[in-house]
Amino acid sequence: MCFKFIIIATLIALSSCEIIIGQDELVDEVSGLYTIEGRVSPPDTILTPGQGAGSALNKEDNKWQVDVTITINDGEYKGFVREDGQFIISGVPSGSYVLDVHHPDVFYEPVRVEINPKGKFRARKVNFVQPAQILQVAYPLRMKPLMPFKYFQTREQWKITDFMFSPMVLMMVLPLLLMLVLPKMINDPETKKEIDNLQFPKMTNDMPEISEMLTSLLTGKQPEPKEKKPLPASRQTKKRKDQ
Amino acid sequence: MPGINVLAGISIALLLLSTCSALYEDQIKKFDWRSVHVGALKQSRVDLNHFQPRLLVSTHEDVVALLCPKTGAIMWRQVLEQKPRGDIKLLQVSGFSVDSSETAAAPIGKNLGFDMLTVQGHAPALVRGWNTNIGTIEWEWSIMPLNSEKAQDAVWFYSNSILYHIVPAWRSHLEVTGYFASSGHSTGSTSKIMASWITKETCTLSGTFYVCVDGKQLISLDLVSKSTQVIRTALETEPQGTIEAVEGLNGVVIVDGKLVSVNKDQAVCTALQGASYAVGSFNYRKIVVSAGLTSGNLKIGAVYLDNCSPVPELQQTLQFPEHFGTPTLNSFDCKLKRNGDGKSCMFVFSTSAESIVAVQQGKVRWSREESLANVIDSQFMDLPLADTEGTLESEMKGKAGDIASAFLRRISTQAVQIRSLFLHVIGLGPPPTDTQRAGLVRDSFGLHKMLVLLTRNGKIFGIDNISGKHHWQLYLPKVNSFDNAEQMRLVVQRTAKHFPLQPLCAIVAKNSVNGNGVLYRFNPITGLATEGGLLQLDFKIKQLSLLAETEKDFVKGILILDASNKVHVYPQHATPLANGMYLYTADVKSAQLEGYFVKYAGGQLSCTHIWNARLGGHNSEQQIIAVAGKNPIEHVHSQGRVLGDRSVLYKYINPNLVAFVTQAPDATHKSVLNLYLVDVVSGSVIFSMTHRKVRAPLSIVHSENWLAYSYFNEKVRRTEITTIELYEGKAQANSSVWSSLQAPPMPLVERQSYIIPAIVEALRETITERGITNKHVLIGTASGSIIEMPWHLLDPRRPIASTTQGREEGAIPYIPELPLPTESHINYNQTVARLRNIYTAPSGLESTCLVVATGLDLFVTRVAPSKTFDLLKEDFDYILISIVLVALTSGSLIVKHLASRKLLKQAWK
Repeated sequence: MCFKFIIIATLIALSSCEIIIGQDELVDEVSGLYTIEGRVSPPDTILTPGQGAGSALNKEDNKWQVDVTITINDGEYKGFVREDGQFIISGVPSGSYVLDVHHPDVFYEPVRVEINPKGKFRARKVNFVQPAQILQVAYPLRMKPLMPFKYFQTREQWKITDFMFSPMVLMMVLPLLLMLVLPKMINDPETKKEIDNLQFPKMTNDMPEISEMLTSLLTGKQPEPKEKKPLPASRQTKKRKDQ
Repeated sequence: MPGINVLAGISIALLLLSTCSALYEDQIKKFDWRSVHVGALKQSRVDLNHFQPRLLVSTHEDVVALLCPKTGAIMWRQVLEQKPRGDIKLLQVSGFSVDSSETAAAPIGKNLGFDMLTVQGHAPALVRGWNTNIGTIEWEWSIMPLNSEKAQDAVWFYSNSILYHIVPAWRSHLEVTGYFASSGHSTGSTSKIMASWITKETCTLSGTFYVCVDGKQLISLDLVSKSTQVIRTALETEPQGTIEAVEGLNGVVIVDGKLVSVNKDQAVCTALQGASYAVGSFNYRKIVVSAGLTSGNLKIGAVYLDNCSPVPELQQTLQFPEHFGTPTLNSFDCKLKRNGDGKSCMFVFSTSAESIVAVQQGKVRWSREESLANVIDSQFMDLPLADTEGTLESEMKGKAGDIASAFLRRISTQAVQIRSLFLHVIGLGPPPTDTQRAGLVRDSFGLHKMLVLLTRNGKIFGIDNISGKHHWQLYLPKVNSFDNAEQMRLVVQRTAKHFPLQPLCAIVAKNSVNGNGVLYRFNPITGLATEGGLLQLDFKIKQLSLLAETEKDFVKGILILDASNKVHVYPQHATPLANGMYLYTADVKSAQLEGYFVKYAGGQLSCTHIWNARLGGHNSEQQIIAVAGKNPIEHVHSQGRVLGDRSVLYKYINPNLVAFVTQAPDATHKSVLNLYLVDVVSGSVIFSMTHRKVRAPLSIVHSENWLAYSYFNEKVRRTEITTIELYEGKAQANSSVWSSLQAPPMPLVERQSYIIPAIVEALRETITERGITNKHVLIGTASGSIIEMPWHLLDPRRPIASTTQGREEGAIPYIPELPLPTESHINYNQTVARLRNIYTAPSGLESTCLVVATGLDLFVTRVAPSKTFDLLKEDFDYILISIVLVALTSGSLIVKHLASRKLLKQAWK
């Protein structure tokens, strides 16, 4: 019983196989060569108008069908795309092939096509790392553009906003604002005075005059008057402290 | 585990970000260019009367293309399969037919169900119909002959919308099958025609006639006539060469330069004499055009076919440049509307130097250099110095005398410089030399060079590597590549560094007539022969090597080992330098290596056979499929690698190490691939490795202490790259000098394999002046992209488990599949069809490496593996930095002034 069942099953399988053959007229049973067929979707669906100007032969009137190459095994077998996107690769013996669709500007995912010795086709996703994993895709093949190739780095552009919001500039600008704007906002004259008195008398004193520095450098003398002035002051303070 | 993966992923992403040195979009075409080729012309059809004038070509490189007849530019191109499958047997354009019923003058555009069809290959034979306007395919069918061996010599012809397939069985019969051209349906059964006289050498197909030479007569068969009648045509003398058909004339063949008709309906003018013929129409009358080269002049003549009277309008003679070689008229056409003067006629020639030349009105209208589709060697040559720098250079070189004389020399050169500057200003200076006028002067960074390309048929080009301009070209007829699958060589005997001596290059090739060696010396900047130019040697070349520079004229001598194991040196005066040289030879077929030692004693060179190694395996099936040595100009900057524990692992840097790869079929493993690393001085095998179920295509690159090779793994059906690194260990045997003879310790070998999701066609390492810059590997893929792969990613020391040691060493954790980011495609969308090889050369800048990729197309660019660290970025903003500087200085001054004023005011309060 079981045996019979198997025979019937194989018969069905065989007949279904033959039906495929009969429908497509693709299999040359004598030669054992097969024809892979499919369709490539045009790349313009994902290409923005600016892109692709520098494609293959740099001709504006060049059709995408000419730019697309369909190859198996490094050009051992090739297919060419018709104007409507259809392609066939004829005269392929049975085996397992990676079919590459290459367009210079757009990425198409490669497909592994397997033709068994009986002429049955199976297409699946290419997985080089785990060859045993099978993810079947539709056959006849439908090659869709996945994404445009991004060959170029974008250049850093100098923008005023980038400059303004960079932390260094912020660190410099905010205290400056505080310094310059805050005193003006204080209306009370007394506090103003206090602030004025408070503000950087030391800094102005410490800033050396360029001319002085130059003379000191050239003559080799120490700028004496400046050195002397603070000394009595410090004594005074000391005295005050003593008192 | 997933955690580790994520970590690894992040680290990879970071690394890619840091090492990615992609192009900017505005850098397109700034320093890269591509030239697109179709290959040597096979068949062509000029059609000037089409609504869009066109030139359809099929080539020996299995390409069909449409060229613009005005400029020769490619309008579209379809690269067909590689040989033997892609071999174009027939190109048939609608409106042109060999049959008399459809003459060339017949209305064009007559619908025959196709625009253009091609027949390629033999088993299976592919027939394709093309739309010639846009270059897309329209239909395709194929047939598989029952006997594929016989079908190898099959020929095809087209007549009355039927395509005939003729399979000859030599010395027996012909099998003729007809197919409806556009559907592929057979017209009936195959007819067998008995013909016992046919041989491969003597027969040809002319239109519908199959014509053979038999002594002093031609025996022919009309293959389309109902009755297969044997036609015998007597000849005056026995033909010397082979007979050739004339396209467009049914049943007419060229016998020793004369036309002979075997077709009684087709009369010919026997008076015509020429090297090549073509048929077309002029003034609505059919004409035969003949062309031939006599003492450098191309003569074109024509006669009307009906009465054999000459056509004076088309008679023309023109100077034909020597570098094109011998021309063969391929096709021609005249505009019908502008008749009478013959000025609109265009003649398309293919030449022995593989150029396509279009002649119109007694002038070369345009030419295409299609030999560049087969580049076999290349060199980047430094350009000569500018005059001023030249004098400076010669001054520096002068032998150091006493101070006074040096000072005098300095003053005198400066005086001369001032004088020449003055003369130049008032316009009386000496005229600039040719090279200077062409802009061929060395730039400060050494990025501008002369690219010298040697092509397979013996044509040599000097091309500007920045503009792509052809500065010179020369053609060496009758040279060939060597036996043992070895190509001709282009060697640099003297670089441009020795001013005022001119650089010197040499071509080493084989004479295609007698098989002896040929040497051709020339100046790579001007393309002119020097030192006697062509030198025919009287022995066969087996191996060659370059010697060190001579003291006298800085020429590197060429050491040649001949077939009888004698050695010769050119030029002769460099002979003493050959003393102590080692040579090796590798026989590809038998996989046998031999080593020789050259000795110079008493004015005589002698050569001793010192070792041999058989890599053929136990049953001598293995054949060498690749040999990879190191680039002789390579510098290794760092001697070791710092490990995680701060110790140093020293590299095994053996300059005499050569990698040999052998392959053989195997009963159990399908195919076995062996790799041997051999020290070619001592002959010792340093390391060997076997891969099972692995086959070609194999590409290999060997540099410093590492090796990378790609192959196809049949077991898992994918392309893989294996990398090997050799280390001496923690101590260095001899840090100052390397000797292959003092038995160096066997190196430690690190190895790893990676999956690469592309088919690899070529591998090459980047090379720079001092070797400080990181090495990247350039990977050329089958789709024509060139990918720059950092060595970090190919490193065999990438740890499988993420260890701390590996992390400290800076190694990335191992991931089997190599990433191929699109940013690292150095040729962006300028793909190189049928990429075959990549050559690299250092530039004057340490950071930059010059690259040329060859195949059907040519792509020239430069890469900076560690970015241009020794050069300001080209987008460096000089204006911004000067504005900032000025603003800051002036700001500080103003602020100081304001502050002091405020202080003064306060003091007065």
